[in-house]
Amino acid sequence: MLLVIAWMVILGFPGLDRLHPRDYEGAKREKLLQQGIGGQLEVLVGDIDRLVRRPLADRLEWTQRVPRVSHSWHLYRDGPSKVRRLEVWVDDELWFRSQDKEHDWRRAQLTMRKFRPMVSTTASDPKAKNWRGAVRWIAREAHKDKPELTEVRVVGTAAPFPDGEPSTVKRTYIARPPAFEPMRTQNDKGPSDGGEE
Amino acid sequence: MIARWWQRWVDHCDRDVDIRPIALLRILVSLCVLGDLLRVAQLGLVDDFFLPYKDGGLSVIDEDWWVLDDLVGSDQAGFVAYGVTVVCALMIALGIGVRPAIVIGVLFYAQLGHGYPPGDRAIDRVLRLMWMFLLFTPAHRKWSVENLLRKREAVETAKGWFFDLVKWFLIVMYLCAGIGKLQNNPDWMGLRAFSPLYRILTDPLAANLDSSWWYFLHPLFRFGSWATIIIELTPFLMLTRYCPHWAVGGFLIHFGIALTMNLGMFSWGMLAMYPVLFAPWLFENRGYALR
Repeated sequence: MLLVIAWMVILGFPGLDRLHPRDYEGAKREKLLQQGIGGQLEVLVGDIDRLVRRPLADRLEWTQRVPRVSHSWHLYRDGPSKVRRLEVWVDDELWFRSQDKEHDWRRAQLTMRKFRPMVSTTASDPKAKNWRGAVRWIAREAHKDKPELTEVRVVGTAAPFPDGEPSTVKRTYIARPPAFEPMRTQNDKGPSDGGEE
Repeated sequence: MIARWWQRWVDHCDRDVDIRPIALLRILVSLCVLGDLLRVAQLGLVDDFFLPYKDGGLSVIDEDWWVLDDLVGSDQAGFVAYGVTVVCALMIALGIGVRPAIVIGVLFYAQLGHGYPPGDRAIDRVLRLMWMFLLFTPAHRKWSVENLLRKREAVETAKGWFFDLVKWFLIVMYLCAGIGKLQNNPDWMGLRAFSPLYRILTDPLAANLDSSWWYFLHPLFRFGSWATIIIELTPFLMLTRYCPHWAVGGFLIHFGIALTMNLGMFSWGMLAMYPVLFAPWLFENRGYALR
C-alpha cells in the first residue's frame, strides 16, 4: 500500500502539474528569491518538483500508460467565457442546435458523454482535430435521413452571458456528398474558449 | 522506534473491516461501466467510436498503446475490446471469475481508451483504477453468484487497507481539482456576476440549464462555486471520523452534476465509490477510519 501511495504522490501530486521548470531558473529564480519567504518556498517546491518528482514521474510514466489511468484530475477548472453552441444546418435548414429542444436531431448521440468532447471541441477549440470525425459523422447521419442533401454545414457559435444573444459564428465546417470529407471554412484561429472535464 | 511505527502501520492496514462496502463498490463500479458501454450500443455508436478515422470512425488520433489493432486488425480491434470489456464488467458485477475478469477487463477497457481517446474521460480512468484496487481484495467473496454456484460461504471481513487506499486516491483527486480550479481562476472564490459554476452549469455544450433563465439565481451559483472549492480542498477529512459528513457535500456535488449536466456516468461512477465513505453510517462501524 505504501508503494501505491508513493506512486500516486509522484505521479499525481496536487498542484504540481502547472509548475514549469523554467520558472525557477535564471532571472525569474532570483526575483522569486528576493520576494521573501513566500518566494523562497515557491523556489524550494519548484526545485523538489524539478529535481526529484519529475525525473521519477518520467520513469514511472509507462505504468500509467498500459491501464490508461493518467489524468490531470482538474475536472472543469473553469467554465467557458461565452455561451457556446454547435449548430447543424442541412441545405440551409437548422436541424440541431445545442440546448435547443426545437432543433434536437440526433441529440441523444451528440450529447452522449463519449461523443460530447468531439462536439465541444468542434464548436470551440481550433487546435483540436476532432472536427474531422465529428463533421463527417454528422454529414453521413444526415444523409441517412435525407439522401438527396447537397451540403451539411456545422457551425460553432459564441455569444455573451447571460442571454446567449447576439451569437457570432466562430467556425464553420462543410461536408458534401458523396465522400462527406469535411472542410474548415473560416475563423478558426481564435483561442480555445472554455473549460473541459 | 521505527520497528514499532512499522508494526502499527502493518496492524492498521491489516485490521478487519466489514466487506459489504467493498462488495457494493465492486458491483456499482462494474454496473456503471456496463451501463455506459451498453448505452453506446443502444445509440448505435460502437462502430463510430471504436473504429479509426480511416475505417469510418470518429477519432483521427493514433495512439502508440493501441496495440489490439496490430493483433486482430483495425476493423475488428474496437469490437473485440468492446465485447471483452462488456463481458468482464458483467462478470465482475455478478461475482463470477472476478480476479481474471478484472485483469482482462482493465487491459481491454484501457484498449478502448487507446482506440478512442476523446471518449476516454476522467471517470473511465477512475473506474479502471478501482478495478485494479479490487483485484487485491476478497470483494468477490461477498454478494457473488460464484458463491452460490460453488456453494461456498461468503466472506464477511476484508483488510482495512482498501478503505485507506480509496480515500487516499479520492483525496489526491479532489485536491487536484480544487487546487487546479483556484490556480486557473481565482473567481471560484470571488464575487463576479458570472461565477465559474454558473458558466459551467449553463454551458450548452455540456449542461442542460439555460443561461438566460437561470441567471436570476446567480447568487446561488456563486455560493455553489465557494462550496465546491471548500469541498474539493477539504477531502483530508475523509481520514477522520467526519468522513461521512464530508461525503454528504461530495454527494451533493455529484448529484447536482447528474441533474444538470450531460456527463453520462461521471456522477454515478464517482458515487459508486461512496459506499466506502458512508460505511460508518450504512454498515456497522468497524475500523473504517485511520486511528
